[in-house]
Amino acid sequence: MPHAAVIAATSQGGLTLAGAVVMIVSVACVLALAGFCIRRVFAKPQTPERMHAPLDIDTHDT
Amino acid sequence: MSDQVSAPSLAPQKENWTGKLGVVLAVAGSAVGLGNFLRFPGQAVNNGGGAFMIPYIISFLLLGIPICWCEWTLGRMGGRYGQSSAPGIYQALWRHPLARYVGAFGLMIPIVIFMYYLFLEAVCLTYAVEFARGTFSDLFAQATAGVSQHGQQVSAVTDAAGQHLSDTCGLDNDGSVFSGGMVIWCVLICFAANFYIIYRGVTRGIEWFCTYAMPLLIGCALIVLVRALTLPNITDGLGFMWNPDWEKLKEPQVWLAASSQIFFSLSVGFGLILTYASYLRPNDDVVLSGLTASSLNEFCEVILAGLTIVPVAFIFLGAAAATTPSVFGLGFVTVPSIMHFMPAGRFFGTMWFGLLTLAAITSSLSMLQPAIAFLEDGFGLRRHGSTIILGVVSLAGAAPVLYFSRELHALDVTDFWVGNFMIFVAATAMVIIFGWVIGVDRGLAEAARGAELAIPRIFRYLIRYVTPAFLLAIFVMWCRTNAPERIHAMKPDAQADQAARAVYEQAAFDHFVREALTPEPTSQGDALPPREQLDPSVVASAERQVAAVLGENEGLPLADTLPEWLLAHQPKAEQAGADARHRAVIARGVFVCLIGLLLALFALSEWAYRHRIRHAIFAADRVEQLLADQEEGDQ
Repeated sequence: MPHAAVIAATSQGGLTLAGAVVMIVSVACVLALAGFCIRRVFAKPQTPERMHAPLDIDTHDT
Repeated sequence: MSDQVSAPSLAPQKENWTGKLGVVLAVAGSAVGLGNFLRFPGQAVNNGGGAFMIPYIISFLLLGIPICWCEWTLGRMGGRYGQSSAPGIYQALWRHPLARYVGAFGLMIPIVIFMYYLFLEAVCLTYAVEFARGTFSDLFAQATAGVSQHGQQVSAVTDAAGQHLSDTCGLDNDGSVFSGGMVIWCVLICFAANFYIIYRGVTRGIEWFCTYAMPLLIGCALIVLVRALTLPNITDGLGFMWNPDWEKLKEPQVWLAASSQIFFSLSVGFGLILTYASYLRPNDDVVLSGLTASSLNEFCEVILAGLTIVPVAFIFLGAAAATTPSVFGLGFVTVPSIMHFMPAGRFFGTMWFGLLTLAAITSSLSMLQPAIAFLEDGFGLRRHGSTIILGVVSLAGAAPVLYFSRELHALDVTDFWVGNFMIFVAATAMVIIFGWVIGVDRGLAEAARGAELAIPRIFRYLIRYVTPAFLLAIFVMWCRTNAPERIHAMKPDAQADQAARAVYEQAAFDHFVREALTPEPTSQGDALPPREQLDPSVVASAERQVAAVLGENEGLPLADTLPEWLLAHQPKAEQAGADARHRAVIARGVFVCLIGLLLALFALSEWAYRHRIRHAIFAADRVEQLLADQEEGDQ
């Protein structure tokens, strides 16, 4: 497993600066995107319930 | 931006999601599964660590998001015609005989994936129960009794975990899953839970379950994450996972792995989201919902999984265990082993496998709904009828996967052809239908209806040109890498010969190396050092002699041409040949069954089209025409 050896060598000193930057940027990007989306979902009022005509109501539920 | 013109539904709506959060959580639940928690960390650490994130993010932007928006939009468009299954949706939007056959892929893929996913779900539940009952604590305590050195303890624990996995899943013998172990009961429990939730319907079943399960899952994962990040020396583990190996970016395999990971983990392109989105109202927001579901998936994958499993595995078990290439090995051998060394491991083990079970159930529910929708739309069945029929079919399909559990061969073959190959085909077809058949302008205009966010204009070009080209490129690369080997694996005679020859080759190699290392006649009992530790000249010489004895060609040497000392290995070679033949027969059998199922679904799609879907679409067209006439009259 050559790659394992490579990484093991690079990680002997723990997290390198490059590793920390990549990790923080990745985590920050994902958090920013998820946070932005969730905030917008909660900010926007829910779509009002659709008015159903009797023929429309067929849930196929029992 | 938001188009304020309300689009009426053209057909009677069956069900609608009750709220935007519900559909977002349901779709996120569909995407968040074992692939996020187990596959992503393994892929990242074996493909450049932090450097893997470069192709990963590019794939997310060029592949994941465009396909996601295409599928959400197509699903909502199909829902306006009263269609919720891929054959009906494609037929409503593309009036071509091929449409329903392309749609059949969107029906088959989820059903078949469910057939083997159920087994994985049951293994997660089994492990959660076993952690809670202390089975693993006892097992590891027994394995490490009298062992004080850490390296030996790691070895003993991982061996015990491996053996336990083998016993649980019947990896050594076909049929042993049915011998009464806990896993078969967990299969039945998971099966019953899935079908009970599906039976309750989209809003009272799927939406209700995901509304509770997803926050619970994320909450449990956050607790595990906090525990992981507060462990001593965790920065070593994080370094192991995230320190970039930029050289890896030059390897095409890394790009293929990243794009495949994005593609499979978002669960896009093969009909799940089509069905879920068809239950949206005509003006519900697909852009924000699609992006939110994808971002939640990434949150679980990059943060909750990326910061826990591999870093913790590295600090407790070392590099070898943390880089195991097998998802199964990482999930069900490495993780339980970690828990032995981790403080409060029993509690965290229960929580981890509990959350995996929840993630698996939210995913498997989405695999059942397309078929339920097809039975309802295409055959007019009511919920209980469609649930019973699908239950029987999926149980009949899951039984062989469970029975042929040896080395998980049937599962692996099914996953290759359906969970990988067919998904590429279905997703490529979907993007082409959206971008070229329906037209990217019409498609994006439809996506913009009710949307709070505007889709950037660049996506017009991405969806039309870049995404299909990217998909086709990785599909071709993936096929070139995997398909020849898989096709060869379905040839029983060739496989048997190859396996038997491999035994002879190894035996002959060992014989000649022993001869080279010791002038005296060799002792068969002494273990040789690994090949890479041998003198290269000895290896080269032994390989030449092996070729001379067995012949240069790949075929099996004739028994009467073999030297007597090699004939002693004949029983072992015959056994290896028989095993390989058995595997090849299973691979071929699975492949034939899958082709048969696909043909059957083609036929069912055709029947459903002729008898119901066509009429429903025709009625929706009439409504559309009437509405258009009415609008014209009003003006």
